[in-house]
Amino acid sequence: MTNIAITSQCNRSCRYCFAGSVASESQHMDPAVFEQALDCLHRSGITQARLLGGEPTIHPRFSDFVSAVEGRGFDLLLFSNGRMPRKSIDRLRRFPEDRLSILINTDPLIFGKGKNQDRLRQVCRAFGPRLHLGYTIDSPGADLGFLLDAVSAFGLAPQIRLGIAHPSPGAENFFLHPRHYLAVGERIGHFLRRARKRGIRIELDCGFVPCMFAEADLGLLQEIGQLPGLRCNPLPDLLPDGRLIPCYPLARVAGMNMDADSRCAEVQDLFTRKLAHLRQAGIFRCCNDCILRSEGRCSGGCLAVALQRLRHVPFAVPVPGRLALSPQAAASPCRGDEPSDCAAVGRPGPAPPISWTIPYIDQPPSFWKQIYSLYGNRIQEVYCPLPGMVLPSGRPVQASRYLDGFLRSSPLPVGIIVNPVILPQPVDRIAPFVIEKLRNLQNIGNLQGVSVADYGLALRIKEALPEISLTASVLMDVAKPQQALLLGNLCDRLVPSTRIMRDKRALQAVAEAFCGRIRLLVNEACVPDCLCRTQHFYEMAYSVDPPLSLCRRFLDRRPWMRLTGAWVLPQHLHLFDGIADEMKLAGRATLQNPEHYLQVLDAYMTGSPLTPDRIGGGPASPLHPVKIDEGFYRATFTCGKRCDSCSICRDYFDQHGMG
Amino acid sequence: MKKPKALRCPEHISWIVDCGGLLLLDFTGNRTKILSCSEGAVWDLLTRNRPEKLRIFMISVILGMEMDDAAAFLSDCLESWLRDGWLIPCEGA
Repeated sequence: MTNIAITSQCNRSCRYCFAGSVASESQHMDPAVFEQALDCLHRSGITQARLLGGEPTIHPRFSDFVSAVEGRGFDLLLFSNGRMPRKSIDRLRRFPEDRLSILINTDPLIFGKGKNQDRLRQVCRAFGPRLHLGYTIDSPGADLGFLLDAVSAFGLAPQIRLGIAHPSPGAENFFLHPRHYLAVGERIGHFLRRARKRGIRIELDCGFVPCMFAEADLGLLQEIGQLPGLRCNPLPDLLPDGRLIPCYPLARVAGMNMDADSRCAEVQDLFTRKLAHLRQAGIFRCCNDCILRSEGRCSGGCLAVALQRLRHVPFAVPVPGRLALSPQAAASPCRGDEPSDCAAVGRPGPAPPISWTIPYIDQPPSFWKQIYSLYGNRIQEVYCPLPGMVLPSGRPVQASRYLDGFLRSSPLPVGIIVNPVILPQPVDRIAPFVIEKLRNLQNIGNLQGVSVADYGLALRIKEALPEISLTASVLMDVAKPQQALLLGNLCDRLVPSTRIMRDKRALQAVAEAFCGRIRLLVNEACVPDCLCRTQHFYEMAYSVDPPLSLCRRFLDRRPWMRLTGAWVLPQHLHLFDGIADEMKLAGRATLQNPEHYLQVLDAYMTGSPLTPDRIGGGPASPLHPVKIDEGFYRATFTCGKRCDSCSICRDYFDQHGMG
Repeated sequence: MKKPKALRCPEHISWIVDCGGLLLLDFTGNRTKILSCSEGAVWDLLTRNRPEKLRIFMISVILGMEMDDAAAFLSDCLESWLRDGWLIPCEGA
């Protein structure tokens, strides 16, 4: 153990921070625990104390801790964000120069304006060559050039440490997805050359893999002794409460308490053995077939990233008649760690919270931070149209004041929709522009997936950008199993047509025929088989003045048909269990008011009741608040849609005074 | 002892789809098992909670088997996973 986290408190809130995964009982390390930690270092023959946090310099006893380190003859390596209190700076300046190193993890704001930046620059000037910079890459568009300028400007140690933002279960932090590794590797390659010209050495922290670099760049890395691939063998971290963990991202996988006999090498060995069986998983699907891995030149990347690929969905399988159960097996139904009410055939245990795809509305970053803090990883994507008017989407053009910034630094994954109901030109003419634009977005931000309404365009995107997740848009209008079969495995997800959203049997048939995931659009109120639908969506995409409603002409004559729309209210989502893998909220046009947006989103997230006029369903929605009984909704979900001969909706309409 | 009607995957077991098949990970038992592509396809189908007939039909299509052979293969897989603790029995409702 060489990393001692003396506090979990921090004076910054970096989006990639992985320390939130650890719920440490004591935020500041007790001096007695710190003494034990130094004893452990001494016992282990380690001569350097590495202090980190949180931000270690804000620990109220920081000066005492530094004195203890100095008094017992250890060297000191301090990991900091540079925002040090004045008294901590003063104490560090009295530490013997030749035994002190400081690593400041920083960002381009080091050159920005403000009190915190002033303090950071003060620290850089105060410690100069004893201080080197680190940077955590959490986006493929990360600009590294400022680091070289900062080293020169402040006379810092000619050494820069680069790290990758890793996922930390429980922290819900922002991390670099492996699909971006190649783009990041290319940037680092350029950066290496620029750094070499300026005599600055680059160090790579854990998690980098050889396959993200070009051959020539690997050669450069080898020259400086930084060949990537095998650095996922972390030195344990000691938390403020005395617990030892392999590293923050793996804190929930393994851990133990420090005792009076702990030795670092033994702890590390124990963690290595405990994690060994998990190491079969690599960060990419192809890791297990990779020659570098089989030759022992790569461990398959960061284990925490690899474990992100883990799946567990509850399922139950009927025991086939021919299957003979051993007496032991038959006698041990449902162990104690299992939910007890999950045993019925076809009724799996409690499902994990379903994930949501939600619409982009033009709001400042604080709005999205709020959503991120409220719902975190339950938000699968925030979707928006392709910027730059390359291709319209299924809705009128929306405001885009904040869109560029959102695409570059959204805390939530981004989805792009290229789904006009009809393409303005043949696919061959349009596809290159769309692909180019998507490629750019992939490089600058957190692009997760693309929704497409045209089969040909989906094919072209898949060929050009196979790593992007494709969704068959609701405007592809897939309503029958045959269509799902035609779609094959081109798309990872399918949003079934709103024509069948209120038809359980049809939905089930499509879900069974489709080999990917089913994403249900829950708050679009279009009437099934609306005669105006195609024209309406065409005009929304291409007209200067999009129509408010085309269906109004027939809905005025048969207003009860507003009760037949494709909507699902939050309180009735459970009726779709077993059909939906994930959900989608519409509302780029109808939920532009941020308060209304948050109300609707929260209701769907929590299952809180709403009336259908409040969900942002569009012009075919019921016009007035009306309570929808579950019995009524359930009946219309399985009624067979013979509205010509059925009066359920008409009667409900009349009984609830909606006329 | 009443014969269980269903099998299910314990909470402490997760899986990863790899290009060579499917990797099962047991977090409490510290063990793993690599399923071949054929077995991985069966496991993947189980997780989708499809009706049994459809499951067997899809196995027969994916693995190019007759329906009876697909049913037998499914049964063999279940037996082996049950024996090794990757699936556990559950009481019927």
